[in-house]
Amino acid sequence: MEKKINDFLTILKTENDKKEALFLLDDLLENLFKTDGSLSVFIKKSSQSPVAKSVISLLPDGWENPQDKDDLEKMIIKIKNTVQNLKTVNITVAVNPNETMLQSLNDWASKNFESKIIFDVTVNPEIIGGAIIVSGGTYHDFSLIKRLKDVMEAGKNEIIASLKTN
Amino acid sequence: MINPQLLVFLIGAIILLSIIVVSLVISYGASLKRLKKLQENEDALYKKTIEEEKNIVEQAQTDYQGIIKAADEKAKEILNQSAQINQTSEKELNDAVAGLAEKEKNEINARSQILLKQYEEQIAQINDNSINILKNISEDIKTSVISHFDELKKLMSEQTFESKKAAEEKIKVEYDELEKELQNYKQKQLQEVDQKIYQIIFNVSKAAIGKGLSMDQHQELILDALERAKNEGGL
Repeated sequence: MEKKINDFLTILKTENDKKEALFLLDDLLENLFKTDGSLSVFIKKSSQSPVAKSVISLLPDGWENPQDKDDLEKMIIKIKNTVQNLKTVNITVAVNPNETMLQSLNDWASKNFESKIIFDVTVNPEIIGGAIIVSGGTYHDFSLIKRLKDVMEAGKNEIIASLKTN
Repeated sequence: MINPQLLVFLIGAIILLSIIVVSLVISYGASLKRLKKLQENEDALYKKTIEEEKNIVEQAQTDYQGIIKAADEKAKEILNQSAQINQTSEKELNDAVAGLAEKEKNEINARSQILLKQYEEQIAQINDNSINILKNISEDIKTSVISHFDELKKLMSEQTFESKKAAEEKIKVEYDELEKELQNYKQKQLQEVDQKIYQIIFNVSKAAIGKGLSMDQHQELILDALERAKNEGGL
């Protein structure tokens, strides 16, 4: 079961993934004990999203008619609490990250930290490249726009003088 | 009952009072008589006095008229005598006055001639003096004017020089200020141009770098940023 949970968490890369997962888990808990087929409808409806697929993958075999739904409920609540407590790092980047980039970030986080980290990604093309990172009340601007400004400010007079002489 | 002694005393008192009253009446009657007599004497004396006064006045009037008449006569006599004396005296006086007047006239004429001569001499002298004074004044004025003109000329020359100097200094100060302002404006304009050049270069660099980065390079930069943030203890 622990392995299933770890695999599930691996799927969650961004704050949006986290929110979607929490929403699905709440919905699952709400429909878990209904006998009117609502749970089946939920499963079919949510099966399109990778996060939803991973949520469904958490369910044990024969979940459609579980003998002991109480154990299942306990497990879902435990997963939900784990997701809620995941550490979030705010990161601003210049381009909209694709799946490869998100996976790369996730891999880097898994490699460098024991606990799971979720990235709350904001896109701002003005920063050109690099990233602005806010976590735990600290601010780090490693954007290219800042580096460009620093470089140009340092060599501003020389640049202008060079242009004038040429 | 009345006390006999008292009765006697009363009767005695009444008798005494009666005697006193009778005495007083008699005395009063005598006094009235004397008073009447005195009044008669007074009236008589008054009439006598009036009469005497009348007589005196009449006498005085008579005397007065006599005196006046005598005085008039005397006055007429004196006037007659005076008229005679006047006629004589007047003639003598007129003669004397005429003689004196003639003498005086001659003296006055002689004196006038002398005075006229002296006056003419003095006038001539005054004229001479005045001409001399005027000549001297004219010379003084001329000298003074020439002197003042030279001073004025010198003063004007000095003032002209000072004004020129002040104007030159003022022009220099204003020129310096203007040059300074121009320099500041030039500097400001150059700074603005520099700022614009800088902004253009910055925007070009930004655009060039932004467009020139591939997704892999973006990813590499992001991971590098994460690594640096981690090293700085921000994660």
